[in-house]
Amino acid sequence: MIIAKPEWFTRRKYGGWGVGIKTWQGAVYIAGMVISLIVMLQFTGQSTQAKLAVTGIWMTFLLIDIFDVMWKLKLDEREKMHEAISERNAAWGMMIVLVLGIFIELTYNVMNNRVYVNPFMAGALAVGVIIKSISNYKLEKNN
Amino acid sequence: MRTKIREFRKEQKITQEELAAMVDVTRQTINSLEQGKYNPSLELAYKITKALNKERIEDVFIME
Repeated sequence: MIIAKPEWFTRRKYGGWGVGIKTWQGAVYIAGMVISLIVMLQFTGQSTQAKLAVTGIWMTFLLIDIFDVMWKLKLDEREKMHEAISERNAAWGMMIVLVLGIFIELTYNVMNNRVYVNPFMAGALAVGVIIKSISNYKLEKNN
Repeated sequence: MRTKIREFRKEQKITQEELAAMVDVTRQTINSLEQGKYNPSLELAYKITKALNKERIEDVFIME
C-alpha cells in the first residue's frame, strides 16, 4: 500500500541518501509513521519477538513507500547531473576506504600466516565493478 | 555561454518560477542558466527559446 506522495518530499542532498521532508504533508506522514510504530509496540506486550516482528513489518512498509517516492521523484537535467557527480564522488570515497581496508586486513593476516579477506568488503568492491560494467554497457547501447 | 533569458523574461513579465514550470525544470535551474553557471542541453535550450517566444536558440543563448 503506497501512501506517501513524491511532491511531499525532496531528494536528500546533504547528509546521506534517501528523501527529505519538503511539505507539511511529508512531516505529517513521517510523524504518523513514527506514532503508528509506537502505538503498535504498546500492543505487543513484553514479547521481544512480537516487538521485532512489528518493527520488521513497519520497516518493510516504510521502505516500500519511500522507495516508491524516490522512484517517482522527478529531477531536471541539472539536478540529474549534480546527483550523478556527487554519487560518483561518494563511490570513489567508499572505494578508496574499501581498498585501503582490504589492504590493511590482508597485510595483517599475511603477517599472522593466514590469507583472509572480509567477504563483505571484497563483495562490495565486486558488486561495484559489476554494476559499473552493466551501467556502461547499457549506456553505450542506448546513448 | 551567455544568455538573454532574464532580459526576455522581464520583457514578457514572466517570473523564474513561471518559466521553470513552462519548461519543466526547477527555479534554481533557471537562475543558474541566467547567471551563466549552467549550460543547458539542446532540448532545454529549445524549450526555453519557444517558451520565450523567440525564433532561434541563438537569440537566447550566446556562445562566447
